[in-house]
Amino acid sequence: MKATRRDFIKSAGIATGAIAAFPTIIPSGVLGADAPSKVLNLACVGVGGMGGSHIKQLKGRSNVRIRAVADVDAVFAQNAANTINRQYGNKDCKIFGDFREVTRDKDIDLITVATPDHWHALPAIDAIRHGKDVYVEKPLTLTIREGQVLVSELRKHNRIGQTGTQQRSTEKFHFAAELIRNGRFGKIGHIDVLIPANNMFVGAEWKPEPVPVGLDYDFWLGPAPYAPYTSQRTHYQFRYILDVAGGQTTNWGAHYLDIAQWALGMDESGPVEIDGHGVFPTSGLFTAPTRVDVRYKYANGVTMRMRTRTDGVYDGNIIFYGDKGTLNVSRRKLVADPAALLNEKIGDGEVRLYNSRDHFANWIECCQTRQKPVSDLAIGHKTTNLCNIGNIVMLLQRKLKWDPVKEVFDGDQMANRMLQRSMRGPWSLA
Amino acid sequence: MADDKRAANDPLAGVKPDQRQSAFKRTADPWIEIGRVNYGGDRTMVSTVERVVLDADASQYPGFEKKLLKVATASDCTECGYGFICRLLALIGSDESVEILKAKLQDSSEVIAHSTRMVLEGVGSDKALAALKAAQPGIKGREAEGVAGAIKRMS
Repeated sequence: MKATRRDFIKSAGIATGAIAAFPTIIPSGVLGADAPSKVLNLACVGVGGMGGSHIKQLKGRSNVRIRAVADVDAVFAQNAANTINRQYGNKDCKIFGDFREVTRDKDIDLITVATPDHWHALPAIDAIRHGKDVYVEKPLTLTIREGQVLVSELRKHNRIGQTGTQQRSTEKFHFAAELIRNGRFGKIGHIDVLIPANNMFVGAEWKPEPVPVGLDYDFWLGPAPYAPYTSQRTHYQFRYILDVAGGQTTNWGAHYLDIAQWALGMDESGPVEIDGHGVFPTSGLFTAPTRVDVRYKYANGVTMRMRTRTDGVYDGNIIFYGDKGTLNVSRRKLVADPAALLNEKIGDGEVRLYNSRDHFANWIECCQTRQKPVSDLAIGHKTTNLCNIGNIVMLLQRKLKWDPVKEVFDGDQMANRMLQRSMRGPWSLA
Repeated sequence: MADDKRAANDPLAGVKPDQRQSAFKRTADPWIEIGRVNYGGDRTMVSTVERVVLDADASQYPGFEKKLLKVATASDCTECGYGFICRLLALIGSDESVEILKAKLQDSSEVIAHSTRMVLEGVGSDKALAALKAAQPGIKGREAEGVAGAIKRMS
């Protein structure tokens, strides 16, 4: 007979919010410079799909030690701890339900955040305020205001923060961005960004369901407005519900718009005009657009259009159109017209972009050297802004002017009220 | 088609021209249905009203605000419906919404209380801040910290 969730939790000795007992962790700051604890102590907040991927990438590194995991789903947390314990050959990994147990643990140096989007900002901010460096998954935040507070706190507390836009640590995208920056394709007039269509669908109706044992649903909801539990709301599918995420606009837009910003040299700015015409479900649980179509215009005249691709490919694509050629780059390919432009070498006297080939390694190294990483949170915030204002204009279906420095819309009360959201108590950005 | 040529099963059969409109059964009014929606129920009517509000010119906000407040304060407004209405009032609401809804900041339902706070935070006016401060001493539980956070942010 298949074990039930209840059986599993009972046998694993887990109770929601329970704290296991462990050996003492020696914080890296206590030991001397030559001590083997150039190893940094790390905890993971959110250890589901993406968080599990983080653990796979981090557990084998000699300069970090994963000491604890925090997840509102006790099964996810236990699975993650098992993986970590197998790696280290012990049973030392702590398990928590409440992220504050790790973000406020003085023995922890680093925090990764791989929760649903509505939970990116608060754990990262809490970690920063308690002296941790952070790695936060994309999209960086659910709202513009969250991003502003996150970046402000990062600088105020002099911490290191990396956004999970790992394409910046990929040779193909790095080379593409350098080619564009150094004018190999001439003056760029337009950029096309294609993002995948939704890969999950629900019917027109849903019903509240009992919360499964081991899931702290109230904590899962956190700052989001109340809605009863349904299995279709949580885990992977949260990303199609605008109360907690931004659909494919943020899920994939955060990756490919990031490359556009990088290539254009707009990491500290953004577009000044934006127009959108998305298609949104009018019934059922999902509220994120099923068809994305957003047009951006930068002050220098460059236009960019992000839209849902219709060829069934589950990857993004970015195509730069310049007056000397076209460059098409995705995770799968790098194609240029004329093709010879891919043989170009970028010289020493030219614009050289931040060179990282391992996104986590770059972050960890920067935590030790105190240099900004390749996807510093401020950069991730500017990219995420494009995604979030994209969703706003698609909802409003009107062309708006955007101030990328002040981060407000020009003269639209409704749009500006969408830049932040009320948080369900006890949570707040204050 | 001439009236005397209509088939017997034609809804307009036997109906005089000046009585045609009243002969049809009334369809549901989205502006009423929005207050009756329940969790998991059909939100088509909510989407209809939402689209009208999102597309509105700012000059139309006061009129739509009044319509939404009427439904929000109806005795049969559901918790789910109230939540949807408050999301829209957070976008177009004014001090009128603050005045009419502020008592619900202390509602025994945390969902109603937070939905109300959503409106006041959206309006963001001095009056909204004052209403939050006035209500704060009487608020317990999770909303107490929510209100405190909102006041700090708005101050």
